[in-house]
Amino acid sequence: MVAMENTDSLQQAASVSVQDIGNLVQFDPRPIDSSEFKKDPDSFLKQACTIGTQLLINNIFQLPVEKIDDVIIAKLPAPSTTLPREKPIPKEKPLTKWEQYAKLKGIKNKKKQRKVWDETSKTWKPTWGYKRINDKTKDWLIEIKKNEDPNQDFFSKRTQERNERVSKNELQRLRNIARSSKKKVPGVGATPSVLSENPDKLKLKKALNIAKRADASMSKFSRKLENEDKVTKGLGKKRKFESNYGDIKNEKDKQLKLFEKLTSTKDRSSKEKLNIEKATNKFIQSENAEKSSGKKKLAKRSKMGGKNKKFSKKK
Amino acid sequence: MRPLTEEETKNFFEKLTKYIGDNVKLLLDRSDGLYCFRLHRDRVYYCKEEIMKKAAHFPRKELISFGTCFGKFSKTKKFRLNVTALDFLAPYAKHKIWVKPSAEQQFLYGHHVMKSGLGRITDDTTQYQGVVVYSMSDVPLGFGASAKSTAECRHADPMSIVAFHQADIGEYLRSEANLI
Repeated sequence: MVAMENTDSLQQAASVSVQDIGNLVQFDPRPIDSSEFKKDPDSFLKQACTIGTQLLINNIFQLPVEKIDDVIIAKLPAPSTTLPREKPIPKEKPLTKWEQYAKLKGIKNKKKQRKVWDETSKTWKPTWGYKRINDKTKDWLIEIKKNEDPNQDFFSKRTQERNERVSKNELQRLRNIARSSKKKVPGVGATPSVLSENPDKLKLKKALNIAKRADASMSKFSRKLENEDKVTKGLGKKRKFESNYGDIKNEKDKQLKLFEKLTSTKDRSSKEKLNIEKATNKFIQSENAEKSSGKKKLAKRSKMGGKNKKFSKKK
Repeated sequence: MRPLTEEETKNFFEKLTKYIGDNVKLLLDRSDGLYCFRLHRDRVYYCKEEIMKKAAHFPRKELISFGTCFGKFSKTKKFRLNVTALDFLAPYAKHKIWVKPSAEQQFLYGHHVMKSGLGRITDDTTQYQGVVVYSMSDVPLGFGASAKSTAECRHADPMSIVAFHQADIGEYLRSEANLI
């Protein structure tokens, strides 16, 4: 009876089950009978498992078989279930300054051929890089334009210009990296405050002032801009002192007032507090007086007379 | 030369009150004419208005001194009193220390006042109070700060310091070149 039931349920499961042999997976979509499950969860699960495994193995055995090195191998079909990615999708690379500009202007770079036929040497040569075609640095002759100074060393000038271009490119590359990693981009020419995130009029004025003062004359003889208004803001504070020949009486009154203010705050605190020093002094004095008077009664001559003279009160 | 700013005046008066207390008023409010404090090359001078006005004619570099130099402002804007101010501190001093004749020389050579050299001390002197130092014959010798209160002085060790030296009239000889 049990075997019959098993084969029945196996057929039933086979009719509805979904399989993905490529991933070696078998799904049983039938809903779980909760009353059956609650009766004995372990055996229920075991039964469901055996049915599923039986179906999977049945399916595998129906696949075409190959024999490699005395081992029988079933050829699995391609997996049908799409599995989620293990790693997050890589982030898009931040655009360089040029790429941003090109995108804005709709500039698309034309693909250059990597190698070009060189007629002179009858060989294929790379368009750029090592052993490139039209390598200007290899020219043994340089044409001088009419307006140029013929006494210059044009060869060294050419290499110098090239070096400058290379270093400029390197700087721009670094700045691109700095920008993409959201670090401060070093400015060129202007003061950093102007290049800050939200430049405003005042900052620009400050920068202008700094730039103007950065010559030997401290801006006295620096060139004025057209329509430049008299800049007073952003120059910093100027010290201001009272006149030497002002009203002395007034000055004296001011100082007296200030002094009053100083001492009044001090006095308040000192009045409120108990002056411990004074109190102890008084206490010690009275104690000493008592002692000496007591001794006087015992012996007619006081021995303390000389000792305490030192601390006699001065008024 | 210029009047003191409010900040400077505050610092200056705070230092002065340590020695002469409320008597600062007497320096400002004098019956014998108008006196003023002036700042010149970081030093504070005290003089009559007339003298100040005459001294003001000189260029800053040429003018060395006028009136009485009270002291100078340090680079950190604290005020330091000079011996030259002693003439005005001594008559108004609130707290005084008298030094025995045997210890006078020690003090005038720039040493602190020891308990052994202490002749007398004003009664309610607190610790670190500004004090003016006198000889037993009431000649002002200099000034300093008390290292111990009067009560502590009584039971102090004879070699313990009673008052810290700040300035003394020996400086007129010792650092003649630096005094202005």
